[in-house]
This record gives sequence, C-alpha cells and structure tokens, in this order.
Amino acid sequence: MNITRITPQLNNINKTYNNPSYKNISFAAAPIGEAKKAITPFKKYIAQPFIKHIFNPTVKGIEIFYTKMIKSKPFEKIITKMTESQEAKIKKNPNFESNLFAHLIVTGSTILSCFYVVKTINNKKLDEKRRRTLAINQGAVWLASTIMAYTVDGKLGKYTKKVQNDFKATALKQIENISSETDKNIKLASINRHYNGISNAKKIIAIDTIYRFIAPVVMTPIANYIGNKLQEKEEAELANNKK
Amino acid sequence: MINKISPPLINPKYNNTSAHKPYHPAFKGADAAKPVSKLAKFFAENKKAQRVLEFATDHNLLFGASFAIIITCLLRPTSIMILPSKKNKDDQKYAAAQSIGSGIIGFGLSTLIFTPFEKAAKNVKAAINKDPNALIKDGSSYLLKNKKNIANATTILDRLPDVVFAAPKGILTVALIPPILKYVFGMEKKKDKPKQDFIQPPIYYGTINFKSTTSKNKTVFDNFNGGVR
Repeated sequence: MNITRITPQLNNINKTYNNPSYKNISFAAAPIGEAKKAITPFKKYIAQPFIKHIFNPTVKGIEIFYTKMIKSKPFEKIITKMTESQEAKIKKNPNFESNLFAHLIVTGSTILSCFYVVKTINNKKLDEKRRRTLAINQGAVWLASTIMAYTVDGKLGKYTKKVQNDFKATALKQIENISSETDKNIKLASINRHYNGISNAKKIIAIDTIYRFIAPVVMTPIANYIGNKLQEKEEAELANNKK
Repeated sequence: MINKISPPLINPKYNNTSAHKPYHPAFKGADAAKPVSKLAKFFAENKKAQRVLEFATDHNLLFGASFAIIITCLLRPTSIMILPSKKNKDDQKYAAAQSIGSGIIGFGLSTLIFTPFEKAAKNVKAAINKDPNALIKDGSSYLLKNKKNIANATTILDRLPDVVFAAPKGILTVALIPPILKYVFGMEKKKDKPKQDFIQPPIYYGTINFKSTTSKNKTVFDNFNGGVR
C-alpha cells in the first residue's frame, strides 16, 4: 500500500486567505434571546392573532372614520373658524400661541366632572337636600379647578417657552457637525418632536395634577366643609322659625 | 471734585453702523450671554428624558394615563393617609385603596381604548403631512390653504378619544372599583349599621313552652308548662 503524504504549502494557504472574495465574510452568531422570542407561545398563539385579527382591523376602521371626518364639511368649517380666530388673535398679539391642546384636556375633564354631578343628583341613597349640596359642591370644585388649571398653565407658559427655545438651540448646536443631509433631517424631526413634547408634557402634568390631585384632596374637603356648615345653618334657622 | 463719567459702550448715534461695534472678541450677541436653563440642557443631553418627550408627543393620551397612575397610586393615597381626617383608619385605608383601584382601572381602560386610536391618528397624520391631496383627493383642500389648519386638525385627532370616551370610562371605572377592591385587595366597604327605630320588647319567659316534640322525652315534659310559680 502506498501512502501519499500531502504536506500543506504555506504559500498556497496565504494566497487563499488573501483572496478578495473572502474579505467581506463576517461571522456573527444570532443573539440567543431572538431565537427564544420567535418561539414564545404567547406571541404565537395570543399576541400575533390578536394583532392580526382584532387590533389591525380596528385601527383600519378608525383610520377610515378619521379620514371621512377630515373630509367632512362640518369638520372643515370648525377647523377653518378655529384658524381664523387664531390668526385674528395673532394680529392683535404676535406672541399668541394656540391653546387648543389645553382646551381639549379641560373639555375631557369637564365631561367627567359633569358625569359625577349627574351621578350625585341621581343618587337615591342620599336625601334631596344633601344631593343638592353635594352637586353644588362638585360644580364649584370643577369651576375652581378649571380656573386654576388655566392660570397655572398660563403662568408656566413663559418658562416652558424659554426651556423649549433653549432646548432647541442646544440640540441644534449638537447636530451642527453632522455632514449627511438625511441624518440631519432625521435629527431635526426628532428635535421637533422633543420640542412639542415639552409643551404637551407641561400641559398634561399641570392640568391633570389640578383635576386629579388638588381638586379631590384639597378642594373637595374644603367645599364639603363649607357645604355642611351652610346646611347646618339653614337647618338651625328653620328650627328657630318653627319655634 | 472730579466727576467720573463712564462713556457709553455703544454710542446710540452710531448704533447701527458696523464701524462702531464694541471691541470685545468674545462678544457674540445677546443670545450668547443668556444662560441656558438646566431643564433644557437636561432634555438635550438625556436620552431617557428624550424618550419621555417623544412619548408625550406621539402618545399623549397614554402619557396622560401614565401620569394619572402616578397621582392615583402614589400621591393621592399618601396624602389620604398622611393628612388629618375625621374618618377612622379603616375608612382612610379604603379611600386610599379606592384611589389605587381607580388608577389601575383607568390606566387599563385607557390603554385598551386609546392604543388603536393613537395608532390610527398617527397613520392619518403621517398621510396628511406627506400629501394632503392624496388623503382628500381634492386640489382645493382646506388643509393645503393654511399650515395652521393641519396643526389644529391633528391636535383634534390626538385628543378626540379622550373627550368622547371620558363619560363611558368614568361609568366603567365606577362600576369596576368595588369588584376590584373586593377580589384584588380583599377590601369591602363596611355598610353603616342601620339605626334601630323600634325598641325590642323584653322576652317574657313565662310563655315559653317546654313541651318536647321528640317521643323519648315526651313523658317528662308532657305536662310541664314552665313559668314562675
């Protein structure tokens, strides 16, 4: 039996390694987590079917509704009127800024407050006088909260504007050195989102704190105290008159 | 006596001419002298804060619900327990649990209701910003006339679900609080004891009949009528 011994030729190996076709090959293992994610039963049997059969069709339906709403004449009228009134205000005061976002938050809270007032009026567990006093209290708390919400939002407006402007100036300085136009545009878009986010967050935090915290914790007990005192006084007067 | 009059840095006469600018190499205009607010610097440098701001812009309804959960589950219960009250400790605990329960229910309902609306609003907004004509299919669209129209329309799209669903959300929250408190927190509101309007008459033992109904003891108690002799 003939044994042929093949000795590797170093020169040839080096040539193979230096072959340009191998230079772009990279060996990267897939992260372990990803393989696990792909086969999660929750994702496969619950999340994905839910998204496919319930969530996405719902979103599609709402999109159609929104598109129809935007196209409708009443919506067009409302928006045009709003813009006209804003422009008229800007003519009077160049620093005027639309407060539509705050108005809509307040509208939501107002509807909720009205719901609680109606609920109190229809509460058959309480006698009529007590119901009336409580409903008046709730109305008074809503009024005080609304005035307070607009005042605080307005007072914070100037400071927020300064923070927004400072943020924009600092963020724009950070992207000065980016040479690629596309990257710069992406960064600019995200700066705009952050800029709007400061104002949105301020409005939500200020108004919600007043409606959800100050009103029930501070204002309602005070209003109830006043209401009870007035009712006691009224009852005492009635008793005196009877005597 | 020498009156030292310092000359004005900028002569108002020549204020607008470039030849009379004050000589100071570091001077770059009024804006450079203004200190940048710490909060703005924080927002510009902190990636997590920027994510929160993005959340407040793209998902402002859920941002509101998340903030509400901080108030209802943290601030309100703490203040209910800390602030002096005429209520007893159990009532205070119940009020705190009620606040936490309403916060959790509110957040759950908001997430469930608002997520599809926010996603749809985002898609429609993207379509409007990309090409309002494609959406409206009309060259004289009101959205094209003024940029403010787009801003107002998108703001309404953003906040509309909150206005529309405020009352139904309130009804559901009120209805769900008692079962959540009962089965999750194990708390139930103690009913006030009803006032006794009548005075219970004293029991007159003289009429008690000791006659037994069982056959075994029948003979013993057969003729026994009880009473005080």
